[in-house]
Amino acid sequence: MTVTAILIDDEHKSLAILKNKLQRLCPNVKVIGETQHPEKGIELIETLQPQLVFLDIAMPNMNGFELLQKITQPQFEVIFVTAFDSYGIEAIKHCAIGYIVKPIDSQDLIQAVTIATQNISDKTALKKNKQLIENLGIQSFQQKKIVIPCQEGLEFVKMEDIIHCEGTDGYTKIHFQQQKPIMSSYSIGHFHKLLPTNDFYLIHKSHLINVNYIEKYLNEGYVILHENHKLPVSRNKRTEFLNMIRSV
Amino acid sequence: MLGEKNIEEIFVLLSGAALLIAVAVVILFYTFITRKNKLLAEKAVSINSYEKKMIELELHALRSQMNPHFVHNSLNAIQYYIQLNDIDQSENYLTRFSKLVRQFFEYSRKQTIRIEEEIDLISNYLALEKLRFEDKLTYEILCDDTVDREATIPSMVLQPIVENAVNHGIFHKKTAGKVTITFSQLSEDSFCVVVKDDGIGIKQSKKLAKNNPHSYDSHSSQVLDERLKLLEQIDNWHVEYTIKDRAEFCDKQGTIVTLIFKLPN
Repeated sequence: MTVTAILIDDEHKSLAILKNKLQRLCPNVKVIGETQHPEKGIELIETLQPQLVFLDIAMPNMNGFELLQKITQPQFEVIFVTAFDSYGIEAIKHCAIGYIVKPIDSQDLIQAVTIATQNISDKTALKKNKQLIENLGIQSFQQKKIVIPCQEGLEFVKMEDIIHCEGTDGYTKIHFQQQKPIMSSYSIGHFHKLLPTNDFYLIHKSHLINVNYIEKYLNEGYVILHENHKLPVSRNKRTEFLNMIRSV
Repeated sequence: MLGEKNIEEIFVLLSGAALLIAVAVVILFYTFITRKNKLLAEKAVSINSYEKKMIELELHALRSQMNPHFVHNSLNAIQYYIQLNDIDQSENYLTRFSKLVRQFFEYSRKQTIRIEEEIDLISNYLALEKLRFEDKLTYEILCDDTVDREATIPSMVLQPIVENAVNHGIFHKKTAGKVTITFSQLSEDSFCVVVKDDGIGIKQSKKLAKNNPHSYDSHSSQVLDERLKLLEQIDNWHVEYTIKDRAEFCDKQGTIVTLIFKLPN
């Protein structure tokens, strides 16, 4: 499937690197516009309506996030390209949006483009982009929503509503306070990285729990979560886990 | 008569004994106080050296922070020349970068470096930024003849300031910008470094940073403030640090940072 793309980066060197790599590695991407100026980038997006935008984060006067906010209906898939910005990368990951780091690794680029190409046919970009913009404006971590791809499409869930993530054969079942559990094709390791470590603790190789829902700890090595969920704590994690609970 | 004499003797004896006891008490009290003072002083010294050690460790940690933005942007530029198959420029960039990293490692381990070395580090750093910004950046490093280039200054103080001038001042400017660094001797035991740029100015730059509160940049000036405070505490250096928006006192744009180093006695 051919995908139309626009590249926005304030450095001409970065634009040249990306264009060269796309030509060599991702022949399905057709670059229909490129610019070094964020203001011009907005114009290009509105007039050319690309399916995919490669967007630098740190740019003069207007950064990549601000640019995205200025577009009323961001219907395109975004792949952020950044030298270094840990804060930005967290926010992007939470919304299942693609990103690559400079200097660009060929495998990372191919993977990001493959996922973006798949997503374009699902038409989920607008929702994800809007969620990212919303999250960037929220200060408290728990209030932010994360985007979870699952069989029917995307689920948008508040982090504080997640009680427990259960790993099963590479998939993850996520349990909530109110709604029914959902299945994600991401592994439990993915959620372990995604969710804040202050609130979420991996008590067992297949159980990641929200510590705010712990009701009881049993000496034989089990925790009781909200609504009588009884889960085992790995033997080698017990001491660390107990220390952590005591300090909360 | 006899009785009176006896009473007198007893009185003398008693007062003698009282005097002896009093002297003994005074001596005991005195030795006790001196011992106590000595112990306290020893304790104070050990606390002091402990604190000093802590501060030194902290200073070390603060010195050795190389901006990850700069590292990745430099590597990105090298990737560009590799793609172009421009062997000379790729090698030039790579060796310059490697030299700078080496200087960073070497100087961040030291408390002080020679002014000569500081000038070398800064010009090497700016040369690398120039490769990235191309025509958008020019720079000049001026050093008065009166400055003793062999004299030492605290290491890694100037580089972050020059980096701010490039990344905050010049980066956001639409046209080409210039950074000027001037070293001058004020008196025998003090000298001054001025870092001047004609970028967007600190006021505008702070406004932009507000939109991106968690970015790495916002803490680099904080690190410098902490370092200067610690340098003062450890009683080695007095560094006066002022930062001004040029628009406030002349019709020019940009930021001017003045550092006055007073040598420790």
